[in-house]
Amino acid sequence: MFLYKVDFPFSEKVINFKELNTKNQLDIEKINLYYPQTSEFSIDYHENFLKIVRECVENKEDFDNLNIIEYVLFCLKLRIVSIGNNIDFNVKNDRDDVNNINIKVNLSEIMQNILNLSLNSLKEYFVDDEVRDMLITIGFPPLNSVKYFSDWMHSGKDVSEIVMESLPFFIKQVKIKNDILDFDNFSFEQRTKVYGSFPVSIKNKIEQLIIGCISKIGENNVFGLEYFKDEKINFYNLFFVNFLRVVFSQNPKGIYEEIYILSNFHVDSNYVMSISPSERKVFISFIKAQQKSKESSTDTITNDMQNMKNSSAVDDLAVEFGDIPPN
Amino acid sequence: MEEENVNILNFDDALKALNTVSEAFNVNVWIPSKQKEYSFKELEAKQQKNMLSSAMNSSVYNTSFVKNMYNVINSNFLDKENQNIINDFTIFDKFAIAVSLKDKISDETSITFDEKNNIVKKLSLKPIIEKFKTFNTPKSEFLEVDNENFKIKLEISVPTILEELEYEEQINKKEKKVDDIKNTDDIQKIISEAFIGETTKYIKMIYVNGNDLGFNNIDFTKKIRLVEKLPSGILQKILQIVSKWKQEVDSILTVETEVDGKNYTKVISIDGVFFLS
Repeated sequence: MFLYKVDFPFSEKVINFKELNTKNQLDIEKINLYYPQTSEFSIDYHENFLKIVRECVENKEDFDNLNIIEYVLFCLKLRIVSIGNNIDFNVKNDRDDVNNINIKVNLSEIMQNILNLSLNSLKEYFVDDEVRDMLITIGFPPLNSVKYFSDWMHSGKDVSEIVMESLPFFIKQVKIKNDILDFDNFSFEQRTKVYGSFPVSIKNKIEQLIIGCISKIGENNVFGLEYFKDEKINFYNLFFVNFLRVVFSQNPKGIYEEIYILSNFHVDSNYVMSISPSERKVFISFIKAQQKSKESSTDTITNDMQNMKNSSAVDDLAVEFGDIPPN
Repeated sequence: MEEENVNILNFDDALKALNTVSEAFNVNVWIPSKQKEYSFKELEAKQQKNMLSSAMNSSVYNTSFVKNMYNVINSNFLDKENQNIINDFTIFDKFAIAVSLKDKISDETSITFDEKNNIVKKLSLKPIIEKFKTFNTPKSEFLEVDNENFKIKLEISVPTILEELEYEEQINKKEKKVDDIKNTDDIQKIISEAFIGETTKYIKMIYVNGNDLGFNNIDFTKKIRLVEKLPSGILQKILQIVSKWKQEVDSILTVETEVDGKNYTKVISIDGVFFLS
């Protein structure tokens, strides 16, 4: 059942989704362990991560048409619903005299941060030519552009050249009178060809607008915390791949432990795999509570036995039945 | 609220729609040889990119820019009924077109007056556009050489953009890169080829003893072989005429500035770099 839904500000799409289940969570931890955290593996990691996340979505076609910012927002929402809203980071400190720092991160606040950053950077996101009745709307690169950004990242080309090459990905729509050129329907090659047909005076305006947008969105860090000051939105280094990796990172040993405990309590393993991490936590909390109450009731019986041992009533009873009282 | 009736276009229709709207982004250019104004579509992003690529081209010739500029003039000329007229445009008309197209892209162009002292100024190209309106395309000139046995007569005129394109396509098709120049012999060869080639472009007709050699109907390889046979004195005269004409057009393309009480002048080069500045 796809019980949840989230609507997005840029594509105006509504995505129906369900929580990640235990199997999905384990798969994410497996790719976290398998792929080194280096830029060469970013695209492989992303493709596998995307496959797992996509399993949770009902309207996959709409999902595929989200832009990268919306995709990040979706993943955060999925993380909140499936695993929880808060993350505790135990960060190593360089100073010997100071212990590790514990940083609590609220994912809802990060979502809001990213949303604000992206909305602010696209504040005036259109080129309006009233004379020619032409309106060009700027947007963020679509999810299917990630492969291109990855190729550019490893191309060895100059950054300015890469930025110029990537500009067609930042155009969302062109409206000429009553005709709409929806760039989301075009491949990159088609986008580039259409972009190449713009009159230069218009293209120059678009260029300025997009470069302004790219700079603005990268001004502040997404966590809003000094410690993560370098975690900024940057499409050209695939910032979001590492960011999501951090947000979804869990201790796999802990997950296996929980599965093991639930199996010991005769919870069907297929069922365990199908429930969300949050649900699993609820079961585990029941078991812990049960164990705790069991432990406390065992303690009571033992104490009672001990008390009984020390009671004169027991001795009296033994004598009455012609027996020897216990020592 | 009135409901808007919109059409979502597929890729092919999108290109057509954009092409149509691009025609509304036009620029009127005064063509000196025709003494008339013609409308051109503004430079497209792809065309600008090609111009920039030609600026990066390390060829010792300007072939890539010549081809790109011809293609731009050909495809952006909006008087489609008279499309063939563009082949009569001279290389000086090309300068006027280039300056007007560049002016439409940006209000100011960055001009380097003195590279050594880093004297760079941003200037408007509008005064040059205005000066082109007063420019008169040089009329054909005739040169004659007589001796006892023969009489040679040459017609000299400003080459058209089509002739310039044909020359580049026929002669410089094998691009010589800067890296190909290994020694002074290579440099001399290039200069002498360029000298003969440039001169050939300006020769319209050759008559020997009153007979038309059909110079206009042969390709540039043959033209050059013929020109190489001409007496050096006549080549020198052609060069003088060409040089005079170039000075006339250079005076149009000259810009001035003053920095710290010192005057600087510069003749703007119309090439790929021009569209970068």
